[in-house]
Amino acid sequence: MVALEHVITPIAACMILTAFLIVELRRLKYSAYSYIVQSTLLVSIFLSIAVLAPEPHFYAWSISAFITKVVIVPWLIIHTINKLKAEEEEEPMVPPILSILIDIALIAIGFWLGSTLPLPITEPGFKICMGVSFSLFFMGIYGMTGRSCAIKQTICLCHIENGIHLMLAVLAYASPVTVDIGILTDAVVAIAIMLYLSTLIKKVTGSLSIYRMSSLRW
Amino acid sequence: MIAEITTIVIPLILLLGTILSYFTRYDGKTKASLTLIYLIVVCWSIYVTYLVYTGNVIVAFGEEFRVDSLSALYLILVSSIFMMCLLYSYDYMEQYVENFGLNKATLKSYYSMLTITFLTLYVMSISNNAFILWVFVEATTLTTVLLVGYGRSENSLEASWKYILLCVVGLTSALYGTSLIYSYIFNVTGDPYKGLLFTSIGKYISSVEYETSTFALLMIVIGYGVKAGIVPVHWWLPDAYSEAPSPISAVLSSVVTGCGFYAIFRWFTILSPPIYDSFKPVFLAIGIASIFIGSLSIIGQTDLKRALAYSSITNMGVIALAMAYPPLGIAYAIMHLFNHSLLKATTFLATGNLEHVYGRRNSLHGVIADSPVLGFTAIASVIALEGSPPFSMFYSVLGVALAIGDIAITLIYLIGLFIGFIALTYMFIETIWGEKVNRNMKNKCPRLMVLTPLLLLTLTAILGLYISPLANMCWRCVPR
Repeated sequence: MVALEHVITPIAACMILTAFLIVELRRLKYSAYSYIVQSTLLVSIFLSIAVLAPEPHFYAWSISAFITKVVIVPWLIIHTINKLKAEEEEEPMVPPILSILIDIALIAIGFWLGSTLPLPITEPGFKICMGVSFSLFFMGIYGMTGRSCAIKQTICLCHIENGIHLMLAVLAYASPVTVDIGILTDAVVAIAIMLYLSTLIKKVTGSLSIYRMSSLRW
Repeated sequence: MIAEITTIVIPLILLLGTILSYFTRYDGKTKASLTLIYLIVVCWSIYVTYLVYTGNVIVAFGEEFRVDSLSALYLILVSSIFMMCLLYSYDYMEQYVENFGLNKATLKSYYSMLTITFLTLYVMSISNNAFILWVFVEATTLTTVLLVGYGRSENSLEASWKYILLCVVGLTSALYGTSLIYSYIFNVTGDPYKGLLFTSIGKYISSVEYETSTFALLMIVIGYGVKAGIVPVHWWLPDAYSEAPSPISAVLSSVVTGCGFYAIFRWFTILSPPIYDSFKPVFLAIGIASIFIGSLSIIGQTDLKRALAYSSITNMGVIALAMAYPPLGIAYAIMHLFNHSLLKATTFLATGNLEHVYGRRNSLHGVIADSPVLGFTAIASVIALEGSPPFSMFYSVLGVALAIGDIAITLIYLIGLFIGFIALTYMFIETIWGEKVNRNMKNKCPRLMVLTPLLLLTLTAILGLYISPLANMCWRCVPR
C-alpha cells in the first residue's frame, strides 16, 4: 500500500501553486479556473485519506466538497463574471514583485506554524496539510485586503474556506455531519451574497473596484 | 415539553414568519400576523427567563441546546429589541422606501430578512454547541448585510461590502480557532461530542497544549471581536450603522454587534484561570484602545448616527476592559452588554425619528422647539446611554470602575468615558437646544415611532430602579 504522505504531499504542493495563481492572476476567469483546480485537489486529498487511511468519513466530505466547491461556487463566480463582462481586475495596490514576495513570506509563515504548533497529529502527511491550510488562510486574507476588485476578493474568500476545510478534514473529520453541512451552507450563502453585492456595486458605481468607493472613510 | 417548545416550536414559528412575510402581499394582515408572531416569541422568552431565574436550566437534544442565565438574558434582550424594531419599522420603512425611490413591494424582503435575523439570533442564544454558535453568528452577518445595503445607494453598498468582507474574514479565524480546540479535545478523549459542547469543552480544554489553546483562543477573540467592532478591527462599524435604515442600525448596534461578545463570553466563562490569565493583557489593550479611539472619534462628527456608532466602539471597549478583571469584571461586562444594547437601540430609534421628521441626520438645531417629545426622547436616551442614574447603565459603568481595582487603569477608563460623554452630549445638546436657523420639518412622526424608544427608555429606567434581578442573572453567568 502506498504511504498516505507520499500521495498527499505532492497534491498539497499543487494546492499552494494554485493559491499563488488565484491571488496573482489578474484575469478573473483564470483566477476562477485556478480555484476550480484547487478545489478538485482538495477533493482528491479527501479521497486519498478515505482510501489509504482508511477513513470512511472522508467519502462524505469528498462528495459535499465536490458539490459545493467544484460545482456550485465556481458556477456562481463564472456566471457573475460573464454577466458583468468583468475581464480583468483593476490595478492592484501592491506592485507584482512585492506581492509575490508577500505570498512567499505568507507560505513560509504558514508552514512554520504548521510544523511548530503542537497539534494532535503524528502523520507527516497531515502536518504538511496543516502547513498548506495555514498558508491558504493567510494568502486568502492577503488577497482579500490587498486587491480592490470585488469579485477577486470573493474568490479569495473561497480560497480561505478551502484552507479551513482542509484543516477541518485533517483535524476535525469526526465532527457530526450537521457541522459540515452548516459550515458549507454558510460558505455558499456568503459567496452568493458577495457576488450579488458585486453586481449591485457594478450597477450603481459602474466599477467593481472597492477603492473607488471611498466616500465613507472617516 | 418546555425544551421542545423552546428549541423546535419557537424557531419554526419564526421561520413561518419569514416565509409569510416574503410570500404574502404586504398589507395590514401580514403586519398583524408578524406582530403576533413576534409577540409570541417575546412572551415565551419572558417565561423562559423566569424559569431560568428561578433556578432551572432548559436542555434539549443531548445538551446541543441549553438555556442558562447567559442565554436567557440574551434571549429576552433579542426578543424585546426585535419587537420594538418591528413596530417602529411599519411607519419608518414606508417613508424610507419612498425617499430612496424603491418599490413598496420590496418591504416584503425587508420584513422577511428582519425575521430571519431574529431567528438566527434566537438559535444562537440557545446553542451550547461551539460550531452551531459559529454558524449562527456568521448567519447574522449574512442576513443583515442586505438590510444595511437596503437603500441601494453608493454609500449603503460600500457600507455593506465593508461589513461582509471584514466580518466574514474575521469569523473564519474564529472557525479556525474553534476547529483547533475541537480537534485537540477529540484526539485526547476519542469522543466526537466532547469538543463540541461548551459544557464539556470547559472540562477538557486544559488537556490542550498551552501554545495551541492560546493561539486558538486568540483567533476566536479576533474573529468574534471583528463582529463586536473592537479596535483595531472596527472599520466596518461606523459605516454600517450610519448607512442602514434606523431600525436596522438599532438591531445592529445592539444584538448583532453584541453577539460577537456573547460568543466571547461563552468561550471565556468556561476557561480555567491559567489560560484566562494569559488573555488579561489582550483584553486590557483592546479595551483601552477601543474606549479612546471610539470617544475621540466622536469629536468633530456632524452625523448623529455616525457619532452613535463611535460611541458603540467606546462601549465595546468598556466590555473588553471589564473582561480583564474576572470574576466581577465578567459579570459587569455582561451587564454592560445588556444595558448598552437596550439603550443603543433606544438612541438609534430616537435619532431615526429626527431623521424621519427632518429628512436628514446632520446639522440639526433646536429640535425641542418643533417637537418637545422627540427632543426629550433623544437627549434622555443619550444621557442614559452615558451612564446617568436612574437608568440601568449607571450600575454597569460604575461596576466596571469598581471591578478594575487599579487606580491608574480606573482613571484612564474614566477619562476615556468622560471624553466620549462630553463629545456626544454636546452634539445632542446642540441638536436639541441649539439656535434654530430655519424650520423645515418634512414629515410628522407617527405615534408608534414616538412610543417605541420611549418604551425602551422606560424599561431601562425600571431596570435601573430595580437592578437586583438583572445583577443576579449577570452574576450567575460567571463561573466560581
